[in-house]
Amino acid sequence: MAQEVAGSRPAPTKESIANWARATLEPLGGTVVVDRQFVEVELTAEKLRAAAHEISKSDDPEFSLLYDISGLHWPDDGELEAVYHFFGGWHAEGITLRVRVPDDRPLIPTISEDWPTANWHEREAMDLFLFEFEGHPYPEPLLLEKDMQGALLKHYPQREAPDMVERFKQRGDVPFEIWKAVRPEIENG
Amino acid sequence: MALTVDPDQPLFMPGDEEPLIKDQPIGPIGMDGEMGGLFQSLPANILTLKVDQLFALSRKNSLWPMTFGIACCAIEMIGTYMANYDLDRMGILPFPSPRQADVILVAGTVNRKMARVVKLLWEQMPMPKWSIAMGSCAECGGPFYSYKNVIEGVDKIIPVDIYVPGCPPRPEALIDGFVRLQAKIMADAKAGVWRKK
Amino acid sequence: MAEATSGRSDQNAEFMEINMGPQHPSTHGVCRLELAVDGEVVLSCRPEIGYLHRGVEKIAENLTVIQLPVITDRADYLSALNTELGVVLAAEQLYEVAVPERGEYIRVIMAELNRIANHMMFYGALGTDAGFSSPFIFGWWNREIIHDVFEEVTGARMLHNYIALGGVKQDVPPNFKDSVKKILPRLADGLDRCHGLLTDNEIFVARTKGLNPLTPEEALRLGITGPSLRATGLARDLRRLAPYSIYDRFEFEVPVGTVGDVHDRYMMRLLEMRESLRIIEQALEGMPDGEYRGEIPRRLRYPVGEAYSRTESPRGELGIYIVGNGQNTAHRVKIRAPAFVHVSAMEELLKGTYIADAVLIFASMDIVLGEADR
Repeated sequence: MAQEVAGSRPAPTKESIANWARATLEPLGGTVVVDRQFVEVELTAEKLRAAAHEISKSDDPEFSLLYDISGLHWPDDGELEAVYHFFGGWHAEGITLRVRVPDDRPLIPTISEDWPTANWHEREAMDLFLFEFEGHPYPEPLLLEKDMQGALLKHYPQREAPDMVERFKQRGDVPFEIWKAVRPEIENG
Repeated sequence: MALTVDPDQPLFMPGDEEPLIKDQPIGPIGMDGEMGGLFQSLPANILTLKVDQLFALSRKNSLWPMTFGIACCAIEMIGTYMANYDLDRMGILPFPSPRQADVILVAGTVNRKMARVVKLLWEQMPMPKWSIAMGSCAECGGPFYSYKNVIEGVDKIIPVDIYVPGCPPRPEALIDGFVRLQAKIMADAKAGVWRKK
Repeated sequence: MAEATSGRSDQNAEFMEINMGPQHPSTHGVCRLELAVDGEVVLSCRPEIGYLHRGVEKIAENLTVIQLPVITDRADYLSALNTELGVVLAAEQLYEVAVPERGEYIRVIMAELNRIANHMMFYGALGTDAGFSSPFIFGWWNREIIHDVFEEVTGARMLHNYIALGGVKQDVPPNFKDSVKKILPRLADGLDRCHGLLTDNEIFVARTKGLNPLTPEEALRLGITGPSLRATGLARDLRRLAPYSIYDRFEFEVPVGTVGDVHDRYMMRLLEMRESLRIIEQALEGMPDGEYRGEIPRRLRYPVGEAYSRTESPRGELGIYIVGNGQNTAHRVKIRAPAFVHVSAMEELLKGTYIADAVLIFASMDIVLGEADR
């Protein structure tokens, strides 16, 4: 059980995780980067599933929590990036996987077989960034409706701030004269 | 002695230091000016009202809002129901089913998914019904106006009687909103106005 | 809102689909649970969220780092100060700003007060869902005591926008120590009353003991963190495991449960409140005079880079991921909400329980939909 394990083993450090990553994940095709906050492994989409499987069944260092799957949109590069943060159940260190896919064909294999919590995180990423996770058991929209998907992409429009003078004129229930008295700087409404 | 108390104003307006009745015997309320002569001959403790005003008087003192907290304003709404700012003393009892509720108190941001729910609940409420938009999200989209998923104000879906501004409004502001709703109910009854839909 | 349709499952038995709609009497927010029930037993549950999706993350891409706590407050509105703390810690990692001692102590006091307020709300909601009426009022009475202090210090009862980059936005009023010292015994007394009302109550114990026990492995597999995970027996508290701010200076215990059932999850939060009171006492004694806000750069452009901060919010483990690319506004702000993961765990947790128990299990995970939907 994790509690007993915690007492008997020294907690992994960033270096030990980096060594483990170099030993296990680099043969799968990832590049290990160490100078960021956590150990990061940059992968291509095809290698993601095997890497996530390795992380899930690894015992030392142990990673039991998939924290989140963040999407990032880099419109200048025309790429979408998915960032997976894994953290340990009984220690404080973590490992990050990064996958970059092109804007127009954002296909990433799902990792929800090894990591059940990835189910909803991937659905959310599909909603917000129009990712397509291949093999996802239930790829239905989670947060947004179908016609509003892709809301967090950089080119998705937002509403402008309303013109309050026009709003008050349209509304009609507060007479404009009263409102003008309260806001005397509106000269010609 | 004729009593000059206006029935569409609550007896104690928030912000007033003294009540409107000054040194007058508590006598009949709700009288029209024309019936002043009749009143002088009646003893105290007799009310003369129009039937609409009688119904409005009983409805406004027992408004049952539907518990419809959506977001952060719901927490302040709950705080207003609780012991510190008790709304129950005004007859306001939160009730979960729309079929038995009088007021829908929309507290929180309404987005497109939720708009269908709000509209359905509004239609499920039987007449007479009123609505209070609480918080700036329910009035105009609030701090989230720029997101396309958010509906700019619940008055785009349902007719709103009272707007209670704030983000979130203080419990005192919500109580003020209810007091004004009560005044509005009485005024509507006096003027003979019925909401048609 | 219950729309029921009946259907037939594979084994030729009838089941009914009930919709625990976005508006239901328990006050957890607008989450919709589609339950397929056979009599009273829930066969399957499909949670649906999105009824409060307001685009906090999208709007955060229009805001400077000073304005950022305003909108992230509204995500988890019950523990606003803890969310602000998480956001500001991530921003300070990115900007490399140092926080003075007084600022740190004030932050810890406010965050722990917020934890107590949040758990009082949880207490009230769980009591209401178990069928009681008084716990809500007890819980809120204690919350109002804390709201008075918040109003004195930050100006608002909820959604304070107080913890800011480099420290706190303004100094505490001169009688801060006295007012907090005055409420600590009142809160302790209120906590005792809350215990006395529900903890050994026959009905409450009968309803919650033995309901939905979990092992730590199951909980971790479902992504459950926070007090609900500690109830299963794993002593995982980010304030101990990966201390942030100045939590490593305080002596407090991390309560751990045994079975992981609903009663244990409830007890975790009540015991945590007592530990929070201890932390506040120690922080009050140790609070130095001095600056409340550190030096922040005059031009607040986000440095190019990323920062991930993990804090122990009252609900679970909150992760804030800020990506900056040299502009005034962030490139991406991602909130890893514990409530999001807990709602997704509902699918597995509610299988095979009675409908009334399903309500209790949902309440025991302390879910706030503003965080889950963002």
